[in-house]
Parts: sequence; C-alpha cells; structure tokens
Amino acid sequence: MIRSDECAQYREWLPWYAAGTLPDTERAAVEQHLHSCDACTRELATWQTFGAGVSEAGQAIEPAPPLHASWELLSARLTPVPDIAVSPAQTQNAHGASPALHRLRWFWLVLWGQTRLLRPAMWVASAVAIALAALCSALLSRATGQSASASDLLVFALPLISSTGVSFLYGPENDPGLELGRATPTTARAVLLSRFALLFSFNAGLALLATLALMLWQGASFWTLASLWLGPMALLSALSLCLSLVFGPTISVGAISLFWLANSVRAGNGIHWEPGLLVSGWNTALLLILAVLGLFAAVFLSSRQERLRAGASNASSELPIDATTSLAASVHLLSADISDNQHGKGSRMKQSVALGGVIRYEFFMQIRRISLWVVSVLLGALSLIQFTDPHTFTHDANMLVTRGNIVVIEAAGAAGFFWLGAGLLLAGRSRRDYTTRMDEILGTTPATMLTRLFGKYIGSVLATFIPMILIYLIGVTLLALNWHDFSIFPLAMVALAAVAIPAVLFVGAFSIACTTFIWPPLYMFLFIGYYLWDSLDPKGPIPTLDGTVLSPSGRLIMTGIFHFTPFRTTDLTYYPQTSIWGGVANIVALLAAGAIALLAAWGLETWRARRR
Amino acid sequence: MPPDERALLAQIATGDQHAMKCLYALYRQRLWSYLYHQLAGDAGWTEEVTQDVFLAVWRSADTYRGEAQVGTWLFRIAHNLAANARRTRRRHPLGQPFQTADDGDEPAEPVVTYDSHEEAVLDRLMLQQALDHLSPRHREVLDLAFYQGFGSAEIALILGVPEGTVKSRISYARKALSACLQQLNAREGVVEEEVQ
Repeated sequence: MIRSDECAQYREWLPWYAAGTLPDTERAAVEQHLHSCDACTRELATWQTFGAGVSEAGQAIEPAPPLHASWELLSARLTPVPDIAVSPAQTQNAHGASPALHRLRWFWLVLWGQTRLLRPAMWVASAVAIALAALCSALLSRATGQSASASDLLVFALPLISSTGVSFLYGPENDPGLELGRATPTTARAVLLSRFALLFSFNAGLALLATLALMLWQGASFWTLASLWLGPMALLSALSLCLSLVFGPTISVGAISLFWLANSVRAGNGIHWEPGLLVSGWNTALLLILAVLGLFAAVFLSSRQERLRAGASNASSELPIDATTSLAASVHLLSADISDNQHGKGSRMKQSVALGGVIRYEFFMQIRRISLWVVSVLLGALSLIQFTDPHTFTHDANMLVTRGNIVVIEAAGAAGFFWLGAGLLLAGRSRRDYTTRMDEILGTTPATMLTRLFGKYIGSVLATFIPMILIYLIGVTLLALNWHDFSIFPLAMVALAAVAIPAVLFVGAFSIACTTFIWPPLYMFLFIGYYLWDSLDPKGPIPTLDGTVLSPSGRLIMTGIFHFTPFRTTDLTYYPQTSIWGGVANIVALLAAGAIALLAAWGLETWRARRR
Repeated sequence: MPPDERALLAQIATGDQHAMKCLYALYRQRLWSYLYHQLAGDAGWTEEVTQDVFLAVWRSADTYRGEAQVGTWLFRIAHNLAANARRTRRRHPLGQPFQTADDGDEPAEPVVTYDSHEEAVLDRLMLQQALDHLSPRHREVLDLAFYQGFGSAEIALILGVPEGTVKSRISYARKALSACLQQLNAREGVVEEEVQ
C-alpha cells in the first residue's frame, strides 16, 4: 500500500501514541485519523508489537545485585566527597565559612596535596640546574666582561630547564599514584594546573633570584634580563605540558629541546648558540598570551584524557606483546642451549648465541617505539635544514672551503644531533625490564647478566641508528643533487661512521648504564645539561670537555682524521689541530669510557642480584 | 506518598547520604535495566556504570537547576556515561568481544516494504533476538520510549539532540528492527529447508 502524504504527520506520532506519551490534543487527532485509515492502523499494530517486545525485554534481564550490597559499595565511594569536591555554596553552612574562603581552602588543599605527590628529584634537579646556569653565566660574564653573552646563556637555559621539568609532571609514566589520584574527586584538570603552577612558580622564583644575583653582579637592568627569559619559559613550559599529555615525556623533552636548539643555534655552525627568533622578535606579552593558550589546550587535552586513560592500560598492554616477544627470545635462547649441549660445546659458544638472541630482541623492542621515530624525524628536520643550503656558510677569504670540508662538518653536525637523540632515547632501556616485569623471565634464560646488558646495549643502539641514518642519507642526497656530484657519498659515510658511531656508542653506554641507578627523567635532565656543557666554548672561562679526547662532538676526529679546517678564522679555537693519532685517540677514549660505564653497571647489577 | 525528587537532590547537594540512598532506591532498577541493554548485557559492567552514574549525581547535584525532571537528568547522565564506557572499551577491549556498529541515523539497511512481512512477525522470541542485534543507539531510543516511558521531548533532552532527530531516529530504529527480523526469518527459512 502506498503511504499518502497526509498520513505522514500521523505516522510520526504513532510510536508515541503506542507508548502512551503523546500529548492529549495530538492523541485525539490520531484516534480520529485511525478510524478512517487502515494503513495507519496496521502501522500502529506493528508499533504496539514492537513496544510490547521492548518492554518485555526490559523486564527479562539479569537481576541487579541486591540493593543493600550495592549501596554499601556506593556509599563507601561517597564518603570523602563533601570535604573537598562539593561546591562552596553547599558546604557553606557545614563549615560556617564564606564561599570565597572555602574555595581558597580547597585550592590550598589541592596545592599542598600535589606538593607532596611530585617527586623530590624534580625540585632538586630544577634547583641544581638553575643554580648551575646562573653560576656559569656569572663566570662567563666575569671572564668575557660582556654581560650579553652571560644573559644569552641564562635565556637559553632557563626555559629549557623549566620545560623539561614540566614534561614529567603528569601521566602514568611519572606518577605511580595516578590510578589512585584518578579515583579521588579532584579532577585531572585541577591536578594538572596545580602541579604546573607549583613547578612553574618554583622555577620562575629561582630564575628571578638568579637574575637578581646576576644584576647585582654585573649591574644589568633587572627587568631587561627577566623579560628575556620569562616569555619563552612560560611558552615552552606550556608547550611541553601539551606534548607530554599527548605523546609522553620522552617525545616532549626531545621535541622541545630540539625546537629550542633550532631556535637558538645558527645553522651549519653547531657551536654558536644565541637567543633566536623567539626572544629577539617577539615581546613578552605575546609569548605569555601564547603560553596561556597552550595551558588551555593542555586542560582540554587532560579532560579528554585519551592518552592518560589509555596510559594505565598501555603499561599493561605492553606486557603481553613484550611477553610474547621475549618468550620467543627465551625459546630461541633455550633452543640454543639444547643444541649446544648436544654438540658438547663450551659455555663461551652458548653465550655468543644467546647474545645474538638478546640483540635481536632488544633491537625490535627499540625500533617499534613511536618516540624513536618522532624524535628522529624532528632531529632529521633540523639537520636537513643544514643540508639544504650549503652556501649559507660564512667564511673568510683566506680560509679554504672545500666540498670535503663541508661534507665533514655536515656529518659532524648530524652526529651532534644523533648523539643528543640517542642519549635521550636510550635512557630508561635498562629500567624497562623491571617496569614491564620481564626481568624474572629473562633471568631464566641461559644468557648471563653481562650478555643481557651488552646485548641490550648493542641491540637498542643499532635500532636507534636506523632512522637516523635514513635521514642522513636524505641529507647527503640533497647535497649531492645540489652539487651534481655523487662522489661525496663515500666520504660522507666514512665521516659519519668515524664521528657518529663512537659518539653514539659512548653516550648510549652511559644512558643505559646510568639509568640502572638514576630515575630516567632525571638522567635525561642531566644529559641535556651535559650536552649544553659540552657545547660551551672550550676557550671560555668554564672548563669543558669539548675539544678533548673525551668529547663526543669529535672535533679531534674531524681535524685529525679528515684534516678539517673551519671556514672562519675565529672558529679555529674550536678545532684544535691534531695528528691522525689524536683522532684515533678520541675514538678509542670514547669507546673505552663507554665500555667502563657498561662494566660498572654490570658490577652494580650483579651486586644487586646477589643481595636479592 | 513518593518523596519529592527535587527536594532529594537539593539535600544530596548538601552532602546528605540518606537522601542519596532514597534516590538510589528510587532509580537504580530503572537505570540498571537501561544500562544493561546499552552495555551488551554485561551485568558486571552495568553495575559499574550504574554506580558511576550515582557517583556523578553525588558530585554534581549542585549543578542541577531544575530545568528538566530529575529522571530525565539522571538518564542524561547515564546516557553519557554509557557512551563513554562503550568508547573506552572499544578502544581497549578487556576480554569478551563487544561488537556493535554504532551506526548513524542513516538507514544503512535496505528500506523494507512494510506490508510484506509484518503480519508474520509475531514470534516473540525472534523479536527479542532482533532487539539484541540493534545498535545501542537504536536500542536506546526504543527502550526510552517504550520501557522507560519517556516522551519525545524528554528523550531529546536525555540524548542531547533536537526533538526532530529523536522522531526520525525512532523510525530508523523501527526500520532496522524490521530488517533484522527479515534477516532472521530468512535464516530460519534456510535452516528449515536444510532440515527437510
């Protein structure tokens, strides 16, 4: 039967008529229409059938748990609420205080609670880092007599210190009590904001003190100095809060430090850092407004809580994947064990097979991390900036700029980004077996502690190299296309191998060794400080490793093995000329220092295992 | 005489647990049955979300401004929490699979002609089966209208959509139900043929 248009309105009313919720006037109209329309009557019958089915289904369900028992459960969850979460208006009578006072008291409770929840290491690390930055800039200004270079250092370091701390404020990785905290009536937003306020005001307070000290020391204008770092500090901190909420602390620290380095480092000349665009071009008010916008974004993200909610289960969901992989690793190791016994070979052979298994396992565990790829792509974008336009190098007329020299400095520049990234990405790999509770399973394999540590080191360093080398190849190809000269490839690869491999092995060994006893975020914090320290002017007033055999920047390798000469006479101080043996000594010293660090970590772990 | 629900909420807002218990006793069964169908018939999950609903009521009783009936307000909270719970579990499945396509309002099913099968659709068991196959969105609107007894305006408040959307959604739900029944009928027919 064809539905006529005049029925359309009635049809819309029919379900509500059948359910008995249609208003009276419409009900009367429907009843009148039904007398004269068979189609609608049938339609109503269908609705009534369906309605009866639905209400039958509503009754035919599993019974709810007994009311009393479930009320007990619920009321246990209600108890703590009136004290904190009910709005001031309601508790006004109970407490006899005004709403404003109550709100104040609530803020105070939350702030005080969060003070105790933040890790003490965070306060100590921030204070030490700021004190060091202030000390360095004071020394620098005394030695050079230029207040500008001293304030440059301060302006560079303060925002970075604050934003690194902020990255570790919140989230399942950093807050063992997060699960518990989420069950309290304090919202994630309140927790996030109060933590941010605490750490930021702590840092800003210390930074103000440092500025004040510097002002007394060298007589610079207080406000001029403060306005240089305040805006960037706020903006970077807000940005890192957002990034850490979405991607986690590692990516946040990596991305923010790279962003800030890129902003401050002159391309193609990795050692001169100076306040970049953000400081010179934009004023403090604008930066502060942007920072507030960033905070709003963070609050929005925290209310969505996608990653945070997922975070708790991520930790557990990582387990099964790891468990299967490592089970595969164990099976591999065990089968090596059996076949070895059959062939009657010694334990040395067995360990070498086991090492292969561990390396393979650690390689795959590292290469599937999203943070590895994100940080590498960011690093790559930065180092590619260098490659795209080699003509930007400024040079003296009396210095020789050869293509070979450019290739070497590109390789060294890329290596500098490599070891910064590798140091950050390898931190915490040794802690991981404990956090994922894999250590007991791994302990049952025939691989010894030393094999596992060494295999972890080799496997994860290799995985970290993969994306970096891909990016480097893109850069070299760009350079070759630019020059129409593909003969630079061998030199480019050799230079990268000579400069980057020892540096990454050196830094990676420390990242893996040190995080066996240092909380990884704290290590990252210290590591960035180390990176900055290493890039200080070696002829400056602050002693630095740069230019010595123990520096991963590899300047001795560049001058000794590749006969590198800088493009400006002023840069000669950065590149101590040495023989080929100086370069080799640099490589050997780095590898030896890395090996010592690993052996020390092995000793520590064995001692710990024995105590257990 | 039933206690005044608005007065109950006002008392809850001051932290009165006894008032909370009254409200709990009044509404728990209705919410349980609504959430049970919304959460794939998982009793444990239903109890969990039911408790969350009342916890949310406890926390935000002071934000209730009396614009809607208390029941409507409660169901609106339940609707939101159930949607959240489904979303979370779909992303992080914890055990039993939960597969419900949360289709939109568009009739994805072929539009069926009305008279062909409706007279034959009186098998109640099959109707129950078909209801279980509906998406939560379609199931919800039927539940609210026919079991919980809400009118279209109230359902619009609960779901947070315009009233017109509720009206079209209930008609899509009916089409989906008819299509489901048709499929079940067809399957049954095939089985019978095979048996013969």
